[in-house]
Amino acid sequence: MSSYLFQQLLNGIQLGTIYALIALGYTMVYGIVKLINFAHADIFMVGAYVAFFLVAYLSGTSGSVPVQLCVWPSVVLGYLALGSLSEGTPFAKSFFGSFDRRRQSAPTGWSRAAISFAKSVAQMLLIMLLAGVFSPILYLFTRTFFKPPLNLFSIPVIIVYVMGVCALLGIAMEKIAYRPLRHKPRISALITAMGVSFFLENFCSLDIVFGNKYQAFPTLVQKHDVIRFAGSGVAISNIFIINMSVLACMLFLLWIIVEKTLIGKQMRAVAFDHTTASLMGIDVDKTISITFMIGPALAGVSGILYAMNYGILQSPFLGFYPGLKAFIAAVLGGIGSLPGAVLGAFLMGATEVFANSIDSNLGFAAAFVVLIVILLIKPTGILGKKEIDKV
Amino acid sequence: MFAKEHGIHLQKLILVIGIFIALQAIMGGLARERAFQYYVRIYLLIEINIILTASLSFINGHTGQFSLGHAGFMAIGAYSSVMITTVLPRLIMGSALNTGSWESHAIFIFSIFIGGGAAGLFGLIIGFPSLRLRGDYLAIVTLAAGEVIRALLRFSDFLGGPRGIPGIPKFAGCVYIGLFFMLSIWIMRNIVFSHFSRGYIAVRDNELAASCMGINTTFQKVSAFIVGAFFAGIAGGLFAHMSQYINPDNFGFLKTLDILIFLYVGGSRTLAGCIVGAGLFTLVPEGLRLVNIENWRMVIYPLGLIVVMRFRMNGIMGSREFGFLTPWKYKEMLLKRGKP
Repeated sequence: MSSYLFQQLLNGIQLGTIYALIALGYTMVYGIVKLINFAHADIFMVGAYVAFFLVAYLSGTSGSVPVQLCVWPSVVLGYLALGSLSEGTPFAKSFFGSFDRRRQSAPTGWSRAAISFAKSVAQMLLIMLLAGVFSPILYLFTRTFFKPPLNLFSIPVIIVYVMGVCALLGIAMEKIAYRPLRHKPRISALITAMGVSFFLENFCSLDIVFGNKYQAFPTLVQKHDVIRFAGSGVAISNIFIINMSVLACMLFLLWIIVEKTLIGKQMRAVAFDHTTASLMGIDVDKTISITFMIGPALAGVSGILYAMNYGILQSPFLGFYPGLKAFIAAVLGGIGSLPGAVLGAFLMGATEVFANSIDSNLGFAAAFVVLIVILLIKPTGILGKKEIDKV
Repeated sequence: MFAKEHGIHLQKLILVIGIFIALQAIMGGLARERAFQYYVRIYLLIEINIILTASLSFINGHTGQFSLGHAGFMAIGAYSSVMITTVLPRLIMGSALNTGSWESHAIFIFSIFIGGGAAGLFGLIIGFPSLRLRGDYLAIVTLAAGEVIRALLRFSDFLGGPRGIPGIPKFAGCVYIGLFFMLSIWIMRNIVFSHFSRGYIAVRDNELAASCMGINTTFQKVSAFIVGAFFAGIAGGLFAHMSQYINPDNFGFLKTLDILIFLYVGGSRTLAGCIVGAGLFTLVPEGLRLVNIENWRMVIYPLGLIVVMRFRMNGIMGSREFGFLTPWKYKEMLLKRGKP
């Protein structure tokens, strides 16, 4: 019995690594802009799908480089390139509204909306043009640097690729949807996040993007037990070790970025207080952009792990429940705290696995019950800071 | 004083009620034709969604709490009323109530109120964490509570488990939904413009200041949850008896997100916002079916949402209220102050 429980605990930790990587992104974004980024779960999904198409190409089943890998990332690239190009020239700056900081205080209304609509149509055409330039480049890049034979060593390559795509998507998302709402009521940013989430889910389920059907994820590594405890039947598989080591690498990188570099210091300062940070000469917009780059990159890695562990991608809606649970894990550990997110994710994974081993209908509810109990005992989460009410 | 304005106000009120009754009659007539049933169903769904949205506005809009478990209250209402009209009669008599006799209609009306009451009771239970938690922590606890309700419903064999309950008698047509819709809107309007409801707004604006002014913030917050849950329960009961089939997954987190979108797109602080938001954003995805190519409609719908939130942060209606929903006493007070 005890060996059974121990095995379930290991399974729970294995599931927890997936949740932990998503929860880190949630908690970072929340810590800095106080926004529940519902679209984060869909970036996780995009990561899983990009990994799928890349693996399909590397294992030789899709022949050439899949269209999905060239066209859609290049649209995002085109948008970002247009943004950074137009930042320099005043005319373009006034034309491409969403990059213009003065517009935040400009009057809003329906006539303004009509003008903006016309502008965004023009913007979209230019983005398409740029995307047309970028996609052959991306195609050649992928062909030259990613060569088909698939083995254990291609995992880091896939991870880097997926992290890049997801980071680009994260920055673009922040620039399009969240930046204009930075100084507006928090709730409108939240509803926008839901809108972005619905958009990504439904857009990706179109046939020209990822398609809304089951996709079998090719086996990257054959699962076998590496360590076997004699007598008890408890075993640690290589998938478990890969999960744990990927998580450890990512945590180490994150620790270096947040604690040891200048940008990490800036991030902590902005999380503490936007206004004071900007008075100290910190570029708040840039810092927030970088946060929206790191969080989604981690979510992308989590997507790869998810695809590797489950071996199947149900549909572009697959991010919803893992995302929800990861968010709850972030809250459980105390939102805004990075170690808290990892701890909460492990707790969440273990609870879910234990409850599922009793009854499959119970798994979902048990995690929520644990959450309610912990929050009622400690209202700011396990490692959360206590907020003081000031009059 | 202000006799002329009062006359205009009454005329407008009568006009709106007349239009509503006419619309209701037209829809009731169309419901007999098979070809129009789809449109009638959308119309009824709009009414149910408006009740739901307005009920959520008590918790999220007026009191400023943030609840993400509203579909859970709806589920409680739906399952409680279905238990009375379908599950228990099946156990006792072997079949669900038939829609022919007047007794069963009386039981149906009773069951809707029971559903509302049961949901209100859950609102009381879920309202208590709001005393201890705030902001996003409260949001996540209400989310969890809603999902626990759904999971428990999946777990209970007595209520059909994950398979749900089929074959619910179709009581709620145009007549009942119209009646309950009018009744709910009328009661909610009276609550919104009551002296009591000022307490909600005080809690939203500043809880500490409100308690210093002698407002019982505990009572205000819990009662907002009870009122919201009660009307959500009524909407749930109507939904169950309209669609004739319910299962726990009808009332998941996605349903809550829908209601939240209706609320914040319309404007969370007025009934007008609830009506516009729920009406518009129920119609838009259905209307886009006319031009649907390969499910692009579900891509356009969230884009519309993002655009609306970008240019109207406080919702389409902002803090404006329809004239016919404002009580005369309130208008008179504004007129006396010289603010028309």
